[in-house]
Amino acid sequence: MTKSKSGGFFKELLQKKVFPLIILLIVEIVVFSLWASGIGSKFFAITTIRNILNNMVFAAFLTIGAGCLMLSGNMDLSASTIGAMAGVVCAWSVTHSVPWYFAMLIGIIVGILFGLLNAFIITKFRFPSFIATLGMSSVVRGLMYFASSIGKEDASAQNINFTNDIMYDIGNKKLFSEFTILLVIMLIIYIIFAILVARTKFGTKVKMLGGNPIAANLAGINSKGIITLLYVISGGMAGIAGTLFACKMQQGSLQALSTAQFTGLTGAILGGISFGGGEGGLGGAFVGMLILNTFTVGMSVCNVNSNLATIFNGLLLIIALALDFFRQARRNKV
Amino acid sequence: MQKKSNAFKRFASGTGFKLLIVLIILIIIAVLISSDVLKGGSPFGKGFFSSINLRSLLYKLVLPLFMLSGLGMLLISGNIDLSVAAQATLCNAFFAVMMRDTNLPWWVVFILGLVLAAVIGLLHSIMVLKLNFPAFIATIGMSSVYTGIAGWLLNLTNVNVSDKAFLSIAKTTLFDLIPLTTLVGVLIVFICQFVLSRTRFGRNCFATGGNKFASRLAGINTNRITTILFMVCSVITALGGLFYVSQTKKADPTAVTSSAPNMTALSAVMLGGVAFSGGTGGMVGPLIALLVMQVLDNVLTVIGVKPYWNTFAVGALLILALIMDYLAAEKRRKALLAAVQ
Repeated sequence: MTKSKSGGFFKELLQKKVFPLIILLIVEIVVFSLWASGIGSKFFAITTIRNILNNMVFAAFLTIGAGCLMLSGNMDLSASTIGAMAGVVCAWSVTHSVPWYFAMLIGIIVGILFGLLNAFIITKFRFPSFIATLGMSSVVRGLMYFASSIGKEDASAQNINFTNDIMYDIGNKKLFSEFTILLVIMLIIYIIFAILVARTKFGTKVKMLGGNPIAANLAGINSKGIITLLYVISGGMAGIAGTLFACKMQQGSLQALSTAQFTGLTGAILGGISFGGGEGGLGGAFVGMLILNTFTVGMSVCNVNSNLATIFNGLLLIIALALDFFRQARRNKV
Repeated sequence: MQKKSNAFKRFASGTGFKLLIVLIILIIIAVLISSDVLKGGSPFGKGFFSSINLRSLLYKLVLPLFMLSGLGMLLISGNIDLSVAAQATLCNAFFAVMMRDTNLPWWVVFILGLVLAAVIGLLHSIMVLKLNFPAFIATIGMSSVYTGIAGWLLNLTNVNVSDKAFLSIAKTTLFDLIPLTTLVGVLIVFICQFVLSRTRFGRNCFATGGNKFASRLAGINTNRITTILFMVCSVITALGGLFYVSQTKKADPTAVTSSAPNMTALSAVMLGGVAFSGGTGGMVGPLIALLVMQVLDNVLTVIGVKPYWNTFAVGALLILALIMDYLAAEKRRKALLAAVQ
């Protein structure tokens, strides 16, 4: 009885979209370990794991929002810009002697407000979310440059530097001697949302919306309400990521998070959240991001030429797609 | 005669016409502000219509213009290629390195560059059709592969091209003002428009984008159409890229991708009325949309506002266009409802 059940579990795992990704991750770790020991450095070490995890903190925040939205068949291309805006506003507030907790709160609220604005134009005017958020990201970027130039004599757009000890601690202090506070915050929020998506009514509704929006509407799901909530989540997460990034760097940077968006999105797609929505979960997205970041860190540990690293980065995506193709082909045969 | 007025009516009710009005208004504002017209002078001497400004506007247009036609047709058929900027970079790198290291005449290398692009397009279509990869993510992945190869070929530095005959392509102008390269780009847009609206192939493109399965059942070879469109998209892109090399006299490992002409082209295509999910639209709307975007950018520069307002304006324009679209659809819907009641 127990044996057949565990066999069933194993079979189920084989069928899961995440399975080939976990294999890929393991292969990656083995290859890098061998490669690194071949050239006399060490890959399989606690510092490497720390680097991998710390690298993905900001991308993970954006992935929470982006992943949920993609599950519902929507998209937010403005998240990274909204995050940068939140960071700039937070930094600006601190330099204008607003207390640090209030400044961070303002940053997060800015993120939520832009999320609401996104939700408003998408649900009210029925915009395609891809292009609406593409437009919004330009608008927000322009506003951000403007915000960063307020109060400067030459009115030029620049990064805003500040120093605040408490904020520095939030961004850089380590717990358990290795892992940063940021990482712990990220993991807690990520797990909460992963459970929310996988195990609650809300998550089911989101996936239904992505799988078949018309059927979901007929089934009495308040699609506008859910989409609004998802954009607010996305904006809020971007706001949190932006303010935390500002804490870490002690700077409201105009270029903040610009690569995190791409990593988050590709991680989510790599992790099995299909582009049209309705399928996948945040757990897979996390594995997807792990693969991407393990790869980046492994490349730097093994001292790979940057051109080759770029090529391999692309090939990695293709390999992941190919694995998915073979998995589906096998399932179709059965 | 009847037919002609119908065609005009159709154009007047479409997205292209609205964009054209926006374009004209933009240009008028630009001329009023930037030249001496208000002081009783001529509009052509300085400001927007000065030959320096127009020429810089037209030269800047080249990359997104060439990507526009290929991407537009791909999008209409329900596919997408996000690697066009990286493809152009790779073809540029290939061209520059071949020109440096071999003694082949420039046109042979030029054609080899286009062949390389065609192979890339074929590769993408195999990925999408035979291996069932989602085009969106597969082309993002391939995009970094091409960027990496280009960086390796160029050794991450600029490689200059000095062949006189090749460089003269970009120098050739009509009326001493309109560059040949821009003309070719516009011509390609119109050829694409003709193919889409007047040929069986074009009709099949729309059918493929509208409903792939139904089209296949109706006997359309959707795979062949997708393959051809991927290859055409890559070749046109590479052509634009090589013209860009002719303009700048060098192949640069990052310049093309960092200015993101593919995003500009994609925005223009969607602003011009091509649905992201495929099946609708044309090529004239996107062309005018691209002009609106570039002229707006240029006007703001001529007026002399801070450069970040350009970024803001492009986004605001996109959203404004979408709102206008919504209002028009709503008006039609209300009229229909009223007619029913």
